[in-house]
Amino acid sequence: MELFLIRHAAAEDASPEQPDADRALTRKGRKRFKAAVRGLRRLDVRFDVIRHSPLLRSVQTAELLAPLLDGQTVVDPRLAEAPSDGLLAGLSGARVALVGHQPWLGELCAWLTAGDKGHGEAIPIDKGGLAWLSGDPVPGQMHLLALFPLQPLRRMARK
Amino acid sequence: MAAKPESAMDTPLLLHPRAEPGAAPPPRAAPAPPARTPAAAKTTARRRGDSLPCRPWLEHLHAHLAVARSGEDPEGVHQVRVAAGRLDVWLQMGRMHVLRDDLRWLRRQAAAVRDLDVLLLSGPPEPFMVWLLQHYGEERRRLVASLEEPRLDGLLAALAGLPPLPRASAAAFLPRIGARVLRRGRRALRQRDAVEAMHGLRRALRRLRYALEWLGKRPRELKKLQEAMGDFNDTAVAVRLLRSCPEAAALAAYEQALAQELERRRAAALRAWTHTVPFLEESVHAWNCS
Repeated sequence: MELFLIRHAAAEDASPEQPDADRALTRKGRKRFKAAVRGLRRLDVRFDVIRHSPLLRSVQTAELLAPLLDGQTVVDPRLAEAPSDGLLAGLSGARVALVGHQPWLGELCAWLTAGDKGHGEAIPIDKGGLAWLSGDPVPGQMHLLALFPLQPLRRMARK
Repeated sequence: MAAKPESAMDTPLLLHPRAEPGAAPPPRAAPAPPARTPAAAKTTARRRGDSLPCRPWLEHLHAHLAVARSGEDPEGVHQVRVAAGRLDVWLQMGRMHVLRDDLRWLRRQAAAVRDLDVLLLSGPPEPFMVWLLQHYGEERRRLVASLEEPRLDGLLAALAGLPPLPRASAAAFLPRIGARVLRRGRRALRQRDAVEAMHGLRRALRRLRYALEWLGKRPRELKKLQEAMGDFNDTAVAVRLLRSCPEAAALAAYEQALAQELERRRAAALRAWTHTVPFLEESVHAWNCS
């Protein structure tokens, strides 16, 4: 399996007046992530499944990834919490995108590659960036192929 | 196509202004709003009129999921499917891709139980009824298990976070949905014997009616046609399930009666379709011009 851990694009700042789940992508975040999606398309990245958290910024990010989708989208609330066995058990497909949040995507990346969630903070996944993994989605059994911040993906779209 | 304001929706006079649908959920008791000046109240009302929140049908879904889980009333499962279908059309009108697969998943989970509910209420002959009831238990267990899946919690949470659709933008999607209905209708007439072509038309019609109802229109002509298509579908489901029943050989007379009923209902649905085509063509033309 090729697994793409994708952090949501830049969203509105947290504020006491608005529930965290309702924070939408900013106009700039949306525009930049659209360019990153064009960059991924140039890399021939396609997804069989896009799983995303139910938080609005993640839903909107998954929507922007739809041009790269050959299969289904699935909403999974376990992407809005610390990574769990249940999350891994639900993974199927050859090329799967998981759209979620930090620090949990970093923890998931550390868990899948090193078998230990504890070093998640050492894996920087920018807003709109991604970690590209390959292997069986079992703790310690995946290889980290690439870490893409948003900026190089956007640049690729311009080439 | 450029989004058009309110006037675009008022143009197709063939459609009837909508009272709230009978199946709509009772409004929940809302907290008392803060006092507003008349000007502020007017602005808020205008904003509400310009946008379509999914909240009414999301609350409907919430309310009927509890009934569907308990199994105390077949209407619960039916209304879960109705609400999921309406929310799917709402997302489509918002040009959204995500969450639609999840809503379709929910509708599929509830489909088998709904089909069996309808068939059991029609009073099939005893050997078939006994088999259906055995089947029903399995399907209900499967449905209840699927309603416990995290995917449903995620779906409800995600829908709750979506902002309302701009009305004009949602209305601009009508010509596309209407044109699809006309295409499906032509196909159903061409392939008169194909049950799948009839299903395609029924589904397209349902989506158009839901889209119009989101926009506050109640097209009686479509509802009548959809009822005729629904009658056809009920019989088609009975025929399909009877074919899977081990006791089918002992029910030849019932099978023959069903086959005749299927043909009668197919003819009635296609007649209703033929009568509705001018109305639909005129409506689609009006939506395109507006």
